[in-house]
Amino acid sequence: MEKLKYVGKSVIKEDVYDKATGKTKFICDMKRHNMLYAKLVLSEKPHAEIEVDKSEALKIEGIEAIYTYDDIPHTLYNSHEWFAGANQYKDEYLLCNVARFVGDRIALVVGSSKKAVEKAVSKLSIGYKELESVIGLVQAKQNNTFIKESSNLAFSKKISCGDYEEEFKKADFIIKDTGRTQKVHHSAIEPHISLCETDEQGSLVIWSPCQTAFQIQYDVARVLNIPYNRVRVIKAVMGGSFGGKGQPILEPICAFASYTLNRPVMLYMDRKDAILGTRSRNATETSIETAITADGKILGRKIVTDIDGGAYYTNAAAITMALGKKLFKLYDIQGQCYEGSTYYTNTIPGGACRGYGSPQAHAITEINIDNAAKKIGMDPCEFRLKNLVKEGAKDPTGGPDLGNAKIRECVIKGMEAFDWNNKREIIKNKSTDRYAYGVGMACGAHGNGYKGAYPDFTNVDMSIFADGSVLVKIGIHDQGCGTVTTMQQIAAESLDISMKKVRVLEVDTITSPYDSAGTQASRVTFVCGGAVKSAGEKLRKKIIDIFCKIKNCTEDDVIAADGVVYQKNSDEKYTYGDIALELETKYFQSLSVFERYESPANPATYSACFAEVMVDKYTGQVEVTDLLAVHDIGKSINPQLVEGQIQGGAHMSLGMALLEEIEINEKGYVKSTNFSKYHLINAPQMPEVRVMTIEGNEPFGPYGAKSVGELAAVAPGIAVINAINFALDTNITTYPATPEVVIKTINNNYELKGHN
Amino acid sequence: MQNFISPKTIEELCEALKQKDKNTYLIAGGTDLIIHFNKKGIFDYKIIDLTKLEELKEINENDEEISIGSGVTMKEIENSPIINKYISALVDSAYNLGSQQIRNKATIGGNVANSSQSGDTLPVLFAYDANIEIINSLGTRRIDKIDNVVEGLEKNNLNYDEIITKIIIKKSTSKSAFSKVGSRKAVTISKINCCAKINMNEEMVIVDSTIYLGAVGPKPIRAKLIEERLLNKSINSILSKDIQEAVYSQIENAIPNRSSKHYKKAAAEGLVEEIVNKLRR
Repeated sequence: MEKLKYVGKSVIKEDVYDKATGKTKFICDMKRHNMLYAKLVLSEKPHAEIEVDKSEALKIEGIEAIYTYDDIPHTLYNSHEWFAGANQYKDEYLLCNVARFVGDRIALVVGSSKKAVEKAVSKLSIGYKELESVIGLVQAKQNNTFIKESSNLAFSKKISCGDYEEEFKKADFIIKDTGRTQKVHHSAIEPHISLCETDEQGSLVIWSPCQTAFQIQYDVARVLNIPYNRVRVIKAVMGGSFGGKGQPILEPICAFASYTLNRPVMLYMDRKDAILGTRSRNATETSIETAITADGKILGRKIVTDIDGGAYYTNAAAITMALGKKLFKLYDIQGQCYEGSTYYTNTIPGGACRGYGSPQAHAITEINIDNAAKKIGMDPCEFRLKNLVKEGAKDPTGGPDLGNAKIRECVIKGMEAFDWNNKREIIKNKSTDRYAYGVGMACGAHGNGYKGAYPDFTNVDMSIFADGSVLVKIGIHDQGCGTVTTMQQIAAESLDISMKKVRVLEVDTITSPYDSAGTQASRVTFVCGGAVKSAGEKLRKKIIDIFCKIKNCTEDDVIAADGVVYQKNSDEKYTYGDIALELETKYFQSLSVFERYESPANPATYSACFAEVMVDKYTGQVEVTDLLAVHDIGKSINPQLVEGQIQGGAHMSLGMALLEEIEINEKGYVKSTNFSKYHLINAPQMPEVRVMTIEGNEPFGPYGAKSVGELAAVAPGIAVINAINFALDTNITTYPATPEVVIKTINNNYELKGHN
Repeated sequence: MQNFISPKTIEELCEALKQKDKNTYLIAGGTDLIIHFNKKGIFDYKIIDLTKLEELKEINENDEEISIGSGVTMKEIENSPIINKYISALVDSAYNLGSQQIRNKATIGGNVANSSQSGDTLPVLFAYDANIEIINSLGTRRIDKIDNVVEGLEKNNLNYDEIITKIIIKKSTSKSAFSKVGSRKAVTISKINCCAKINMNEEMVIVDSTIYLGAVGPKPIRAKLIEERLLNKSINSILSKDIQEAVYSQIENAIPNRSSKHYKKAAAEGLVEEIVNKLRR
């Protein structure tokens, strides 16, 4: 490959200076003429018929409107549905008359100031006629009480390859485990927010810190019954999402209020609203049986996962499928069967959350892999190396090929850098009465987009102006990961022009070309980056062609580099801008391309993580003393951004492993409604994350790149759990392993051993 | 009264307190009050701001006692040479309270008045049997024991027109230490906290000990069983297993019916061990 000029460089994002100095304007800093504020009133009961008395609240000075179920269009929608063809089961109203979880949308209060709105919210009289509720998977599966219709089962699917039952017959050992993962809040520091107004032509304009502008356009247009082309969604600066701002929850009701009142409306949430009233990572319960031979070959595996889908259908089908598919990408197993079922419960509905099922899938299976290795006295890395997929492997279920899978290299290089063999052997010698030490590791797999499941394409409109500046229009949403910078680098590289000349816009549905799936599913670098590369290459080719026409020369005589084009051995240089001007003057054309790009593949992407822990056997607190994350990334477009993604992902993963949980009691009430009770890993507790990338080039990725951001949140926490289990000689399979869980496990273990 | 009064002298404060009604709140650090407003949906309130009263910000000593103004912040306690010299447990507790931002604003008077069951300075003030100076709207000052002032679960014994002006602690040669266990290492609310204050003879044998545990009841409780266990032991020879039983019994007695007792027993063992280590400093 030719030497790359822009790709592979740690270019600093343009927006960081403004963000670091507080200059950046987020939606909450915006003010529109005559703007109103709005707040949702969320249900305080898990399941109840609602009656709202607005009279007292309407008396508050400054209150413009209070909307309830009676006032809204009675069109059901599914906030997860991203385009009309997705055909998802629709069961949500903008505002409900039967609340299905603590946090369900009951009313919208709109007023001239936040104070007036908050006051009116507190004065609103809500009558709840409580209904029996279904909390947790056990109750959901009993099917004694129904949330809707005649079953709590929302979706189920079996995915399999080979004949696992036959494989089980050949096995020397079968290793069984059961475990659970919790509901997790995304904890974006900016809570959900939306701002809507109507423009001079009577069309809706919506600002949203979103991941899926075209999905908002679709949902709003459909529910409010206005044409798509009358709904303009502008992606606003975003203070984090992690999947949490993937589903339009605020936008449709905010748009309704703004459209009805014909005034700008800002709908804002606080932390409590964001925890209760949006979406969470789906909780799961998994039982797994793995059949192995005495020499460490996995023959077959059966995995049954029940998923808590929450009160509405939302992503029931997607999470069941996404979770299952990832289980077939990591190990080479002859016979494997996955049965996934998502159930309704009267709790927070499920939605995307960094990794989309991958953290949950691997959370239990990777502990089980350690237990399998332990059963035959084999080192867990060695055991994995015997079974991990190889480069060029096919998906055994017939999905897209796994691509240039470098997971084995991740494990091998990681072992070396971590000093695995040595540490695994001697670390326990450090243990004292109080502190237990251990090391552990885990692997993870993820994808690169929707290909194989849903339409995965994007369009790019790329132009060069007479001054040589480049404008790239593409439907991307920068979530703070540096997507814009990544696209700038790819555009600069493919055009061979300075990055300073390249401007990449984020999505605005009225000006951006259509994008089929939004900034999610780990598809942006791979798919949108591929599209930008392809557009850039075509545009550069166009420049050369025009130049050849003007100069009457052939392509092999021409050099187009650093924004100028010229004949070899000639001093007469044209800038790309000069070509644009020539093209306009002589050929009546603009220097631009419109690229329609369909994703060519959906390879898997892999990581192996290694952790060292110190467990306080008295307080149950776990300190992660070393963490190494090795990622099969294909090619880092921007190594520093990649490093940031891996470190941030590790932070979320450790949170899931050790602390974070939306705690819902058996009656359906939520305990952890603020960061004082919902505990994130904070700076003093966060270890330094060592990052290592394996850059083996993915043939279908732009410059060899594939995904990283979601996968980064998969394996680190599991490696920590495996390290804890190694340190304590336990089998913790409950997430999060809070101090209480650790102490309880130590005590149970002690009692068990005492009886032996 | 006006919606916001910011007295600069005690006289002005008394005037303000005279006008105080049940809708008037006192603000010092505001780290609990603002959260209370948000949580309870309190919108129309009046405020007496205590931050401009210089008298409340002083830390003084005489031959017998140390007096800490109620408006002294956690950060100021951490940095005070006097408190570092005489009450190291109070420094520990202030240093471990909340985040840096909270410590910059939160006051010791507020921590006492708020009387939270997890209040971090409380077990220290209990162990030192602190006296609390209180002033009312007439300017009359009274002194009460910390144990009386703090009723626990966010209740205190102050009259509606009273405020805390000082925390007074007798000087002593006692050694003391504080430790806490929360969900995380730092920026965490105590699930359990503890202060030990001891006197030792020349052979480093404990001749007197006062230990309080916090967050295992509405307010700090005296841990007599643990105190007895430490008595007449050399600080350097105390082993964790020697005190385990006493710690477990102490927690069992304090919260026999709470499911958190199992965890808190183990955690308390860790706490006491940490405190013993600190006392060896």
